[in-house]
Amino acid sequence: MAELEKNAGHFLEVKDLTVEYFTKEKVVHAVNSVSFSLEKGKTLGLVGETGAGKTSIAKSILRILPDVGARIVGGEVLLDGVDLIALPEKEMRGIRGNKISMIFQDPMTALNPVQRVGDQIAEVIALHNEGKKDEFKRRAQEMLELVGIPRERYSEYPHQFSGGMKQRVIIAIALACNPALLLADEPTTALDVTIQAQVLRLIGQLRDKLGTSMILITHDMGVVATYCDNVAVVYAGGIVESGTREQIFDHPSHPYTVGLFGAIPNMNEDEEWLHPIDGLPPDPSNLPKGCAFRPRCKYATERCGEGPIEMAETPDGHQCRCCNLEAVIKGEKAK
Amino acid sequence: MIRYIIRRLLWMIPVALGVAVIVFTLMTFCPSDAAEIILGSNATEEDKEILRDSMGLNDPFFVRLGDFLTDTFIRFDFGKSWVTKADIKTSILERMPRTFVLTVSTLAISVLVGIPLGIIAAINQGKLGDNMCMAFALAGISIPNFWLALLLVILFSVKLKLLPPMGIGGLEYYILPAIAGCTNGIASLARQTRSSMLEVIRSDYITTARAKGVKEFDVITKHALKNALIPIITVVGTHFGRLLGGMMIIETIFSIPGMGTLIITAVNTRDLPVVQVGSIILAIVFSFCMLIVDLLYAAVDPRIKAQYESMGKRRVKHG
Amino acid sequence: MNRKLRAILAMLLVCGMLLGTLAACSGPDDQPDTPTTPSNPDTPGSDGQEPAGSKIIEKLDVGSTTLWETLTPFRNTSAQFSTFVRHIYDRLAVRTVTGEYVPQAAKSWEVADDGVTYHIALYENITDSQGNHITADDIVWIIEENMSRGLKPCFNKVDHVEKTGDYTFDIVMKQNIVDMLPMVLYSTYVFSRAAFEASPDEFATSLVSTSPYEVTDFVAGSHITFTLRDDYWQSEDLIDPALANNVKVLTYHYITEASQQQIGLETGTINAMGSMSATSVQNFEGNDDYVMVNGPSSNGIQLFFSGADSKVVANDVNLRLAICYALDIDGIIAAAYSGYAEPMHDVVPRTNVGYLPKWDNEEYFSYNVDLAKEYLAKSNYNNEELTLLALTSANRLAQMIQSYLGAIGIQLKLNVCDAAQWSSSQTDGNNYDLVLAPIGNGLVNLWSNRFDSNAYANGDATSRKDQTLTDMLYSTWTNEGFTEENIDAVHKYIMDNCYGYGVVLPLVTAVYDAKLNITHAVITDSGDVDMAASIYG
Repeated sequence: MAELEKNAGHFLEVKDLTVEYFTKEKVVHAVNSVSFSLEKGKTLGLVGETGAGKTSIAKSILRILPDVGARIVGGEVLLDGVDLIALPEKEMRGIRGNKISMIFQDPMTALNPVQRVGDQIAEVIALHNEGKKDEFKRRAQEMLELVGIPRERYSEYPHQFSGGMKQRVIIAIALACNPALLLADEPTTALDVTIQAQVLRLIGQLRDKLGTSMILITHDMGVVATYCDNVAVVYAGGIVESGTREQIFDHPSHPYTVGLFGAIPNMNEDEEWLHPIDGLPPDPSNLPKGCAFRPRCKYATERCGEGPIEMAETPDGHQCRCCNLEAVIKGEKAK
Repeated sequence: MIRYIIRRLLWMIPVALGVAVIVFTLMTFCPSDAAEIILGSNATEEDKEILRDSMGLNDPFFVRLGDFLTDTFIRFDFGKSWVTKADIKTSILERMPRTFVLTVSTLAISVLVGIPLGIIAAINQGKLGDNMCMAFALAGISIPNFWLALLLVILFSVKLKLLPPMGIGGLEYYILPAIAGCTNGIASLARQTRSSMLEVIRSDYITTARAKGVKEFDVITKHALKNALIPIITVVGTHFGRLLGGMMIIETIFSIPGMGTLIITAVNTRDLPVVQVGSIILAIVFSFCMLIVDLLYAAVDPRIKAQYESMGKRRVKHG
Repeated sequence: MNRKLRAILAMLLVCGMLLGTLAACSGPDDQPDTPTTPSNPDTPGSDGQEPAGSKIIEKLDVGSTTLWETLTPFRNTSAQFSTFVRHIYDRLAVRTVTGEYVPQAAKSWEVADDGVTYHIALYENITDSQGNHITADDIVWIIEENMSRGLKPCFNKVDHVEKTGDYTFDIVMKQNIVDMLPMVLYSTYVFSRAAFEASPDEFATSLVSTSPYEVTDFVAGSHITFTLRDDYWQSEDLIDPALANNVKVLTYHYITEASQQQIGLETGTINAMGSMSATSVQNFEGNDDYVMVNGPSSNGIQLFFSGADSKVVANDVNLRLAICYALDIDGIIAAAYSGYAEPMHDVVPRTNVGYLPKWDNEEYFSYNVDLAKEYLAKSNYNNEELTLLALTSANRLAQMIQSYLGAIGIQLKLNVCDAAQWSSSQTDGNNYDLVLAPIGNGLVNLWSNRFDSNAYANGDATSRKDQTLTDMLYSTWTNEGFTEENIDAVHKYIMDNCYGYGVVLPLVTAVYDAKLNITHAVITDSGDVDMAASIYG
């Protein structure tokens, strides 16, 4: 009974997801055996630098990786117990835009330039619902108002909107069918700072109103702090640390996570130099054996390079993929 | 938008005038003797001189240019052909429809075959479908039209007796000529469609469409194709313009008296009036084609439509 | 596509094209290796023999390489000799294959003593398809219109026309030159002045004519259909056999593409093709389903030498003789004309009036390389490069001449150009050393065209000023001077001085369906078969 409850509780569960991009010459290991889970109504923040594989994870869940050169090599994505990877395409289409939606990074190019904005919202409604065209149009207009755009602008084209408004339209499209899961891939990175706050607030409001679960991909720790319940840190295609927001922020344990926080300049102090992490992320087509962070890690040992590293439990109960955890904790405490 | 169209139409007048002056000047200073052409090599010098005088060929250049321009543009009197004595306006009015039908049907086949070929090639990029379609297109550009025309005639007219081998009449007379002439168009359209589609398919809004759960077929046709249309429309437009004057080979083989044969024969025989009027007509028709192409852009892409409308508005501000 | 694939594809394409071409090449017959002498079911001769009555054919489709763009009677000379012209208009007189002129609308004509006045008598019962009656008034007006429009050079030779009776009139020529008047008679189309003036476009698209046929369908550049009238003005027994009308509905189709001419016959689109191109004709050799009839063209291909002083050939008769003896006419006929041509014996083709049949038995510059080299040695030729001006249609011939001359040591450069270019260059002898020209249309016309030193500013057509020859011409081509003796003298003079060389007389071939069962094919003055006049069995 307890088992069932435990499993039934996981709304979304990703197990050992592995994705490769390949050309004739080489194979890029974009996502390496990633596992995480998400409860209904919660928001998970996926954090990491550019190229870490966050977008690939999201796209794999929706199965909209590019046709050419990308492949889900292994793993399961269970949504309410159903494996999305194994689902036939036709059924998957029924899920896209309907049960799971995605908001993309660059609003400037995410809308079809030759289609009216309102129609683009109505389209997703029509795809997943029965009814008449007028019905869909009406609902699309409601969505527009919901995101703060006057419904008269239904017939306008994307080029007549500013960046921030375009992103609102995209949010409208994503939420039009009231999805259970929203994937937001850096939704505000391409916007300027003032608009960023607006859009994020909007997402937050709608999420709360509609009870949507969300995976929020970002590299901005401030965003994570405000909007996420749980955090997973992604490095070189793998998750190196995951836990609740409080756990990660109060007790970052993985050397990479520590470095991330360290790189954020302190507003209250007068610093001359920034403190980036030394070195560069590894070449994803040529990942080192063992821990991917080893070349850049102060606490690296021989054992780090021997084989795949397992997740270890930290003192406060969250997960960290490090085999030299005590040394790291001791070293950081000393600072 | 109306302002834009009117402005474009008005521009055709200086274009036509410019073509007229240039062609007239070129043909006048071309080394050839109109009298000898008309009278043939069996005539004496005296005969030719009499004719030259009566045709006004010995008048000064600007007088002749002026006469020509007034006759053509004000009185719409295109005169008679020097060689055949046929009324040029009548000839053009008779021949233009045939060339038009031929051109339109050739273009229609090119579009109906070429664009799908390009789409298939783009979707199956790098795979067998892509290579096959591009091979077909390559064959289309390489195969000479006249060779293909004669083979088609041998197959369909002589061996199978399905279609007439030459001449004019109902629509069946235009089938073989259209098929023979369309290979070039298929090739260029297929290649342009393929490259346009490849560019568009990588766009973010295509990913958005897929993420909405749109059927793949609709993604290609409704979302991708519409955006890929702009360069394709350009190719169709220029191709149409080229076809109008360039169907001479097909017209000759199939004995279809059209604009192509009229103008090329006139150039070879230095039949000045026909060349001049023919060039002006073609220039005007081509301008129309370009206008329609530009209007199609506006119909397909609202950003371009906005551009046209703002062009008019800017003028008003300064005026 | 990668490189290897592209290469394989290119190879496949080439092979495919080759196979396709070869497959299509299997025409009705294989081509014979040696050119056979063209066959003739009837020797072209005057149609004086009484033909048996002919079966009347209901409908016939004929292919033609010429067509009128408009039907207006006042026009230039292009396509004036085409076979279908007589179905459009009656003429005052018609020229047959022997070069003789036979009456059509003009009953008779005779020259007065002054040598320039001709009395013409018109048939009195000529009516057109609308019933208009034709009188001398109409004809006089027609000739004067032709004169004022100046489109046909023969009318420039007319001084004035005078009506002398309801059906008689005089034509006074400017000069006493034989053969000028018959050309005027031939070029005058007969119609009613009233009907012409009532036409909105000067008969351009539809006409009212006195001819036996009515034009029932005309599409410029495509075809023209004639339907036989039952109210033709001339009585049956007075119609010359060369002008018989044995087909009820006759359509001429304009087909210029060589393969299509052949395909037209094979698919039944046409039953006969006039002036079929030589490449297609060969495919019908030996095929019993079709009959081939050859007729001599009215124009021969001649080689003329520049008479301009700046040119080395102008004053060097030995060089000119060397060139003439160096050419192998039989070889030229076989290679450049596929056997469809005849050798000539004078600059004038044998089909032209004035040609003396006895010349056929004379020696005429037969191929003799040694003799050529002898003359060359005697000449002042010093390895200069000579230029030959030729039309693109004579390209093969020009190339062969170049190699024959090269074989005896003469450097020849070719200047092959299109008709318009050629015609503007050919009248100035400073532009070339040799020129190939297609000339004919009457002995007198040829002489006047080429050898009259008063014709152009610099001399004659090759800028030569030979007053002796000019005087001989002037005295020979009058009505009185046109004797065998005088003509022969001019012929010898031109030959001895080697001013011109008749290279070949091309043959015109008509091919028709054997099922038509033509027992006697009537050949026109341009070498074509007249399908309406031929006798059907």
